[in-house]
Amino acid sequence: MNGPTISVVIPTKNRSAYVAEAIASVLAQTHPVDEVIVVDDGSTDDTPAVLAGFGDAIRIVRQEWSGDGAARNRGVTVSSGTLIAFLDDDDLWEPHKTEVQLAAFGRAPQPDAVFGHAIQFASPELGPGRVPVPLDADEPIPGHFAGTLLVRRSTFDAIGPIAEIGGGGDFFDWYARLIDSPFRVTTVPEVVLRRRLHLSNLGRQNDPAQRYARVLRRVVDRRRGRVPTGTDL
Amino acid sequence: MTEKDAPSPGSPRALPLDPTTRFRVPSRRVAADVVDDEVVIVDLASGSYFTTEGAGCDVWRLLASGASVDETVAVLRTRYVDTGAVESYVHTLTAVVVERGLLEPAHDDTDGAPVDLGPAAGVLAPVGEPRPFAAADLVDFDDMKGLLLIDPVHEVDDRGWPHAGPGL
Repeated sequence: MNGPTISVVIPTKNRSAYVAEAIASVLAQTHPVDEVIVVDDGSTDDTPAVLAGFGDAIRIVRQEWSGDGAARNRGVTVSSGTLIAFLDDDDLWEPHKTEVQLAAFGRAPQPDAVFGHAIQFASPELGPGRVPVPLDADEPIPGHFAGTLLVRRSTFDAIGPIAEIGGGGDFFDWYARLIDSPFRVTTVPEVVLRRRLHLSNLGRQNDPAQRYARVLRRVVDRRRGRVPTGTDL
Repeated sequence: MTEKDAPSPGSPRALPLDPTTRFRVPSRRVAADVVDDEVVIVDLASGSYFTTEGAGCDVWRLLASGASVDETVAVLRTRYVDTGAVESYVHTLTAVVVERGLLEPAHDDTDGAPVDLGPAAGVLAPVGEPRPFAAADLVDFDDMKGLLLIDPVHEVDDRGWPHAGPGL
């Protein structure tokens, strides 16, 4: 096999208004990816029809609702690329994302995982003032979350599957395991992801602080060599 | 991992603090998870998280339940052998926690009624004989800022983030 191959995993559930744009942004990469795996995590809207419209450009995996973590893991399991990337169904990749991050993989000291920067934007169909956008929304933020990641499959396998705890802390927990590992992680300065702010990703704030406090406990426990309290993995 | 120690509660510099003030957790952005005698506190506004244990965890739990500094000192003296360090420890740790934004004065939330901090209230687990006192630091971490700060906190206000914009 010559050169790395890139698999992109896009978990989706009931976001038919956004998922097409997300997929299109992956298919529009200046450096093409090798496979796009969309894991339909039990959608009950017209997502299946939207996905079918992409034909052979994507591979659809359908499962009963299992949560983000499980959907991502399922996508990785059925993928074949030597590099793995993720995208949330409501976000967008910048066209040069894979090109920029592949270049980072080629620079010494070669990393095992590459993140990038992100910019947040209010979803345009909502109109002005409907979405609380951070004052500094024009400023790129370091995007240490799934949508900016490009990681060697060997590294992903070594870190282990993403937690299937639910409640939005799954990738957070995986990220903590990654940065506590010996693997080399870098973050490119370019903006590679546009993170959409809309009512339903703001509206899922059923006590986000408490959710994060529980996930951070797992991080702290693990670093101290204690079995993380809380949900089994 | 970046780990910074907050000013040691054992340090002699005491910050001015009204010992009768009660506090509350600004729960839209701050939450704590307590297991045994350790607490993990996260602040979504700063992206930092903190840990403390032992006497530090006791102080947090008491203050977060509405105890004043004076009341917290009194309870700690029932749980630890006080050789003179408890009061300054509580004052300094409280000041640090307030400075970090993890607690805010609850000026209008109480009608001056005393808060039940007794064993029946269940704020702290019961102890037997008072144990030796050890000052525990509040340790703060900022290695997860990138993840914590991208979850927008939307308090309804028109002053800008983390408050909602006009029209919401």
